[in-house]
Amino acid sequence: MLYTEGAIMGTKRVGNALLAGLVAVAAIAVHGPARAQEDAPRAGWQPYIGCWQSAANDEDPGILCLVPAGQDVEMLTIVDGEVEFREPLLADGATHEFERDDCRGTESSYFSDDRRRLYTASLVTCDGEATRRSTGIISMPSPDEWIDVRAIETNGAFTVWAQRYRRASHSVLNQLGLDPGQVARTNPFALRAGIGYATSGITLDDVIDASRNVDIDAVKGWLVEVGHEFDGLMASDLIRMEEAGVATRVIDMVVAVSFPEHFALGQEEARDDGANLYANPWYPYYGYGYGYGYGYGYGGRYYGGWYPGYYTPVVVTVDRITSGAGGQRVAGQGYRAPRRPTSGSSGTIVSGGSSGGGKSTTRTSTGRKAVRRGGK
Amino acid sequence: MFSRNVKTRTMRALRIIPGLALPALLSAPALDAQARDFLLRTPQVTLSLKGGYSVPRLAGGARSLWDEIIAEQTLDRADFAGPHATLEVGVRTSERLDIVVSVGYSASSVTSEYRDFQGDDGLPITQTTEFTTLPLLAGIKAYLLPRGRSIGSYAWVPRAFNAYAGVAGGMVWYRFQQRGEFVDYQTYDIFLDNLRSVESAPIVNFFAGTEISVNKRVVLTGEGSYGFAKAPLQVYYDGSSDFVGYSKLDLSGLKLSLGLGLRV
Repeated sequence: MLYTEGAIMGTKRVGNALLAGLVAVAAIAVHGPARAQEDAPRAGWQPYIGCWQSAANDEDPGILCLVPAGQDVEMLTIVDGEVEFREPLLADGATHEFERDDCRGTESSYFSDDRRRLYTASLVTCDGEATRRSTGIISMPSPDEWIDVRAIETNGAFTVWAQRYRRASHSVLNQLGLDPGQVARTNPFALRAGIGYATSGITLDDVIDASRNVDIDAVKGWLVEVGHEFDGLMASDLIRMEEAGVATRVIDMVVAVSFPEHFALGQEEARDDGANLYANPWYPYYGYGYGYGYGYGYGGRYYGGWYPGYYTPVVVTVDRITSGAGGQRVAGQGYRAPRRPTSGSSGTIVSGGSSGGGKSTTRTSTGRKAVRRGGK
Repeated sequence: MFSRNVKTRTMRALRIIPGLALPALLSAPALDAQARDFLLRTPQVTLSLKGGYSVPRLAGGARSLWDEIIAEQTLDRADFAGPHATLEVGVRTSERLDIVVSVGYSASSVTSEYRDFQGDDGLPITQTTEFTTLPLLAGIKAYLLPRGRSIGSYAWVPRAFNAYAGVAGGMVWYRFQQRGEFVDYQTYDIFLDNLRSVESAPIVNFFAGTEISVNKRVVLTGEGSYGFAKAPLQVYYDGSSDFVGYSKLDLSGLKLSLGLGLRV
């Protein structure tokens, strides 16, 4: 455990029963029709309300619950049945200053006009370190997961980090003493409608809008993470994006994800093992052993961002498919994956995430393992 | 040759298949405008559009890709049977002989999963297999009987029924592609991949069928054909391939067709 009790601002330890009650109250707040309008979360938050688990570390018992708090939501980091950290998440568009440990800065976020994306921005300066500026996108590619993609610029160099959350399973909630019926999947109709709307796929207008609100690298990383193919992409669409000021590199990515038969998105993880465990885009020295064995605790290593968590730094290469550079099927031996990640000899290096993997990503690991049917 | 009722029923049936009905529609005004049921000259060319069902053989054997994927995935040879279409041009060389040139197309797309494995999340490991062939053929078509009868110097009366057989050779292009999830048996990791082979090979095609004259210009054709071809799996310019160590891919198979021909 890298964090210690008391080192986390705002940390509360409560019993399982109390926690269950807390989440239940939150759930009731969502369900309750008598709730005053001014207390309801602003449009856009509804699909996110519930409990989530990092997709990067399925074995971790901790979860992140987003519960309504006024017009916004409050984030509860729950480890071993206890609230380790809580913090409001404000999507009011205002710039909020913060100061924590040796770091200080500003952060802000706001929903897109259609309420299907949350744009984030922050400026962080830690003692002795260069200022880090970031913009990012949070969106819901499917009803049971949401992604947080950020492009962080330090000294003019951008790195994209991605984090993916999946809706916490009933078994996990049970382990935490939470009632799955209240906190998971039992959303009221409006909540379900909100999820349906938020996950209704992205359009070129979304890309144009995102390009106007966050950095190019964040948009590219977002496109890779979502893995959405733009069916029926026409020349007129490309012209429209160009005329709307969308960067060439973003247009290239739209083309690449839309034609997986012609472009392969090879994703190279920054490190072979455990990259997602120690990645903390906000920490001045992220990547040097911090976090191994580190359980949940989104706020435990909080340095001016929203929630460090387990961001995954990944470099994605876009290759034009001209030869069998990927896996092979070998007679008598079945499929053989590429022995090493594909790299682009002439490809454009872009940034994105490794987790999830949409249908546009070819010859990449899905993160799943094969097991014999019936356990034989 | 045909009563009005028979003609009407035939035309109504043709409209069900828009693609095939086009020649009939083209001929219909002429039919209405002219009472005669013969041509004023011997037709020199027959344009035919055929459609039907293709049943590839997908022969197995040592190092057969077909055998391997069928054993590994929930695929069956019958899954690759599907519709096909052929456009044919026949040039008359004699009363019973045509030189024919044709181009065909058949395609199938099958979704499958691993038979013996599933993901550790309990979900199947799925992939889609697409198999497309495009044969380009030239050959000889011989009719059992004369196709019509010349009367005098100008009139040509088509025969109501006829049978034919022939042989054609050429090239067949194929595209075999598997997209989706695959298990690396060394690590049991599941990968997303796209494996494909696009190649060509010589083909010999034997065919036989019957023709029924719908009117003086339009013939209804029923045909069966069998082609023999084996093609290599694609090797890229750099020597790599998505399929390694397999024997040639069997492209042979049976085609059953119905079509319409237009005598020109």
